[in-house]
Amino acid sequence: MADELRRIRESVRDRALLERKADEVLGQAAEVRTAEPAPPPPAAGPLPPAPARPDPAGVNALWDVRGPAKPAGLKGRLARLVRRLVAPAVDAQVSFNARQVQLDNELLAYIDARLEATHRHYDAVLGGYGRHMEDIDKRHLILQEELVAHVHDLVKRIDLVLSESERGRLSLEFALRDLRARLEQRLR
Amino acid sequence: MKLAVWSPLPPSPSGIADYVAEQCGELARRFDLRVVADEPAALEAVDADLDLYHLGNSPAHAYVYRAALARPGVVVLHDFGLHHLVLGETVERGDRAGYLREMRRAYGETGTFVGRQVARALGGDLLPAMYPLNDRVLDSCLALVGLTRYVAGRAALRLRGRPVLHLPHHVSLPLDPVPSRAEARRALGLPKGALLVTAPGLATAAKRLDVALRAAGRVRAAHPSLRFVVAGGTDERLPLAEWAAAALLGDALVVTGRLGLDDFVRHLCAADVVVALRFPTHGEISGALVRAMGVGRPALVTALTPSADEFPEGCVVPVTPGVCEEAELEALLARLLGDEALRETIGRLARAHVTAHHGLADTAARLADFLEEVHGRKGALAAEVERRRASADGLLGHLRDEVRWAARDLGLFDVPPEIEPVLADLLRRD
Repeated sequence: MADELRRIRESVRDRALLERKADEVLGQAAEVRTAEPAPPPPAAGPLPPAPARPDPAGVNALWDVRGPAKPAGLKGRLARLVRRLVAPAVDAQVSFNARQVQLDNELLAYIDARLEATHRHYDAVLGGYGRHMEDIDKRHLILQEELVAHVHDLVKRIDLVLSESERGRLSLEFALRDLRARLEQRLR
Repeated sequence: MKLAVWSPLPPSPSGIADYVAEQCGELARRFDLRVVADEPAALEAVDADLDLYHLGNSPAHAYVYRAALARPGVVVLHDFGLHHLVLGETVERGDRAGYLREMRRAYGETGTFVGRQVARALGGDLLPAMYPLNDRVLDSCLALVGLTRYVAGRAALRLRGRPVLHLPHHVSLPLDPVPSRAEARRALGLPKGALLVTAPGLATAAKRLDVALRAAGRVRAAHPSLRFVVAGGTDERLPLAEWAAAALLGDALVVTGRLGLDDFVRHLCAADVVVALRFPTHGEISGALVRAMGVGRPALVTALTPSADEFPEGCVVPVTPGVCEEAELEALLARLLGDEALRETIGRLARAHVTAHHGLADTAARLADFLEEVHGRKGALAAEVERRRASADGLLGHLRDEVRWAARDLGLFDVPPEIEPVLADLLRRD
């Protein structure tokens, strides 16, 4: 019976001499994952209501302090006389008011434009920074998972190589034992 | 004599539990038996003249391991390697340093290096099998029983002067009479005319089922009725269905799940060929293999493992574990499935061998005689163990540990006894 079993084993032993490719033993190496570019950040939610913009209508309406011309009659004559007397001071005030209102309007327009530009700039900066941080986190996580997976894969491969060599050793020992038995049989 | 038998009992998941339950019935005829199936509150609570410790390489035997170290007795070493048991007692309880200390003590700096890897769960499957980590038990036992020549032989080299018994694994079949192949298949609902290749017991990575399924898949081209039966529970990490699909076995794979002993034996009876490969091995012998032989089924085993070396070739069919393993397995399977007479011949030889050498009553009687012999010498044996333990502490113990692994590096099994006085003298000079 032992001879019969030995013959069966020997009939396939030649296959053992064929060199095997590493992949046949170890399997394909795990694919290395890399991060895709980060997707655009999600749209920001609605902004809280902005404080009311100062209303320039009042100063625009009231900058000319001269008022309408007075009616005829004694009161009118007196008023025109007084107005003529104080005209230089009133005109100067009106002129100043006109310039001041103009400046106020320009300042409001400047602040509006400046704020809008600042918001646009920081939105872009914060958006870019957020995308960058997200990308870093994602890459960090992938790297961590990859590292753990590869260390475990490495351990499996080392174990496999050790097992292969140990099984090879046992295999050779068994072949030697077979050979010894056959030699002893011949010598008997 | 009051004999304490330390072992888990059924329904413990440990396969040793069934073995012990079967043996205890026989031992109870000779001894006043007390079975310690759970950790006792205190060692002193177990009143015995002699302790018999059944040790296997699984956490289920942790309390037996602790007791065996604390109160020396006779150890039945079911697995030569106890690495997973010691890991469970140390690293898995948070005592990484304790594990590294044991590895250092047993294997020197190599042990420390390997231990660090294993403790980080980066050791793989083979390294724990190559470092059996059983030194403490071998140092502490009064006597040892090995279920294979492999275990008994290796232990004898370490237990100089202490008794060692090779006790063949008994065969015990719960069904009497054993059902025929047809009866077993009928009871299990398996096809009457199919060729059944059965892998019995818990399916683990060490059982080489990937290789067996690939070989069976190729053989099926010539034997379309072939079914591959995994008769037992399955390690959930094994992708059995994927392996079967890749081997083009498809629905020819039958996985039963955990079985009661009766159905387990029916599956062995229903089989045409039993596949009981094992690599790496921790020096164990498979109880399922002995049962398969007991019901007269041809079994394929991994060559040069204790399961193969325990039986004459022809009673089992060895498969070389090297690069031609798959090709050999395919050729042997094809030959066996194609030749009923050959299967019957091997099955008959197997049954005759285990009937002659592995009977339950005979092996239990041999064990009982051995235990009585050890009990008769218990005083002297305990004194020797105590002497070794005394020198295991302190600076002398540390020196002995360092010298031990240096001795092993030189190919010796232990420190030669004449070295100890030299070490003691060295310490005195200091």
